[in-house]
Amino acid sequence: MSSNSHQANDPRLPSAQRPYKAPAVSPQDLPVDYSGFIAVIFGVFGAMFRYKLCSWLAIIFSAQALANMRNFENDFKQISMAMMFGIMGLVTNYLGVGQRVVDVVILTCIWVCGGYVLKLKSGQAEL
Amino acid sequence: MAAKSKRHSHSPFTMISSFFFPRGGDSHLCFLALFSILSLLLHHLTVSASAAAGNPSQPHFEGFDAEEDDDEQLSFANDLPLRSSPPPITLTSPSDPTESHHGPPETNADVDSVPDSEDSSSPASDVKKPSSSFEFWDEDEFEGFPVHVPASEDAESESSGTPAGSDPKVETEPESRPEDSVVPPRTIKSFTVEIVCGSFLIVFIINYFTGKKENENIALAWVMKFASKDSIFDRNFSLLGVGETDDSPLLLKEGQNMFKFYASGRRFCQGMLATLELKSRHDLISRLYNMVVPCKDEMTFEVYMNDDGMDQVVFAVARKKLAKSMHKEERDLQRFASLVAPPTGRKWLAEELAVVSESKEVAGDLITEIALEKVFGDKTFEKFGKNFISLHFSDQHLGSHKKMLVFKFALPDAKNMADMSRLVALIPYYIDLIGRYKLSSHARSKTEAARLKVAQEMYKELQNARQEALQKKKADQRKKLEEAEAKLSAEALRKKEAKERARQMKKAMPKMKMSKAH
Repeated sequence: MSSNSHQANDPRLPSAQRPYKAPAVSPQDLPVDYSGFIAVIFGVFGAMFRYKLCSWLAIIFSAQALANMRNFENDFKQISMAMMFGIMGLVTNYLGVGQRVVDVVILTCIWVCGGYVLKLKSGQAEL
Repeated sequence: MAAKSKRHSHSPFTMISSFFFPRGGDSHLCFLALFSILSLLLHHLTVSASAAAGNPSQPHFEGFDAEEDDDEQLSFANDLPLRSSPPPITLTSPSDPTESHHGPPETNADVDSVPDSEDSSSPASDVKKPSSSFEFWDEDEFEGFPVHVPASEDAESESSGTPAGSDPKVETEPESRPEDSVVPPRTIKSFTVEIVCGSFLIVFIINYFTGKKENENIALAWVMKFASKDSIFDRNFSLLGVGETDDSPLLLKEGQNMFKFYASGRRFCQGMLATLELKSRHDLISRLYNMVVPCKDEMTFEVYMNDDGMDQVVFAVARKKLAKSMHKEERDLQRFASLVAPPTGRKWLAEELAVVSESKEVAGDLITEIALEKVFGDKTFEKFGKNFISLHFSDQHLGSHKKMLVFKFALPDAKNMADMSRLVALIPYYIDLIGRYKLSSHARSKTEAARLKVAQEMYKELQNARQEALQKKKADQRKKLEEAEAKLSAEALRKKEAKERARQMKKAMPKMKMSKAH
């Protein structure tokens, strides 16, 4: 009886304790990183058409994405891309020299990120 | 054969694409999209290049202005480099000579008849007809149009600024524009974008650190209040925190506004996960957004019950509006439960609350006197219930763990954490209540029937889904096979065919021999 009443007073049960294990979250279930996406779009527009406002907005939104980043490895690639576009847009805008060089850089960047997107898409398709 | 050659022409393209990009079902489409972006950019490049090349040779081009063949090209090149160069009238006025071919050319300069046949923009040029300038006009070519044609040429020279220099104002215009773009007036106004964006960025960074600190303070205040030594969770759970050992950190930080607290080692349940979802104070943009659309710091407790520690219970309590939406959205509530009207002759919840439950019996048993007295009663809810959002007990939760109690509360300020201590006390209370609770045999048979029915439906759905998946898989395989075949180059196909033919020949040969031997 005494043990029973003791148990009633103390609900703890060390024998039943289980350590925490983080639930596995598949990449599709992750919340969409809107700010990163907007940043990429603004970045591309800013770099392509040389709107400095777009480039600035790209940098602001990539800062937001950076602030809201949950998983460094997953998110950083996309955010860094957006930032690169934004910074490149600003460089073209304010330095204004070597525009052809920058154009070539933009071309390769679009090429590379297109490949990156395709890789993502095909990866999802295979999943 | 036509199809084959088509395939052949297609293969290098796919090879290139597969060289750069991983293969995928819709990689062609994506490649096309990418290609279109590239071509857009290339077009942009060529335009800017022609702009760079076109500027110095501007007057040179304009010498040929009068030539009809160059009209369109010229206007194209004219428009692009100098956005503000001669107004688009050039487009209409050069067309005057061509139009004069179509329309009957009035040799006697019949001013009145011509505007009728032309559009509204041309009368201006028509009026100027009498003023003739023949310097750049090849008279031999247009002998038949002495009056009309020079007039239109004149209009054109006025608008596009020919080297004739007949109009000095036009001459200076193209020169002054480039100057404008090279040396813009450097006032504060021209830096508005930079100033605004730069200062926003700085404020954003400052806010990031202050907001982060704020959120951490709230989370720490919560932990200090409810998970420190001799606090409510310490008295109820033997393991606190996400680590294995006792001195491991209590809180797990996920992102800047999400904290998790885990506890385990209690009767009736396997563990409890509390998730603090705070406002995005670290993010200036969401902070501004939240000024328009206010939100609260929320906290969700998920108690994972033992499999044998919970009877068949589906039950939820929330404010009326939320209860209705939960009833629609949560699948277990939607399937098993319905809104329960308050019974007569009994103390019941505060008026603003509503119950969604599988049966009246469950609702009556789970809303106990103590719970009413502590939180849910009319008077106490006014005092302590402002942070209550919802509670939802179910043995049919979706996901990895089926039997789960979910409590949702709003978090008070860091200073007023004690406000929610009564709500937090509900958690161990309900764990024990549910753990000990047994349905009556009557209710039990009802719930079992309901679960069986749902399980059967689920099974049917599952089977349908499985069949669909199977069919889809088959179709995919067929598609893949076809694609692989299409990828084979014509040469390989020819080889294959040759091989096939050889094999057939071989097959046929011995027969011949056999027949000969016989």
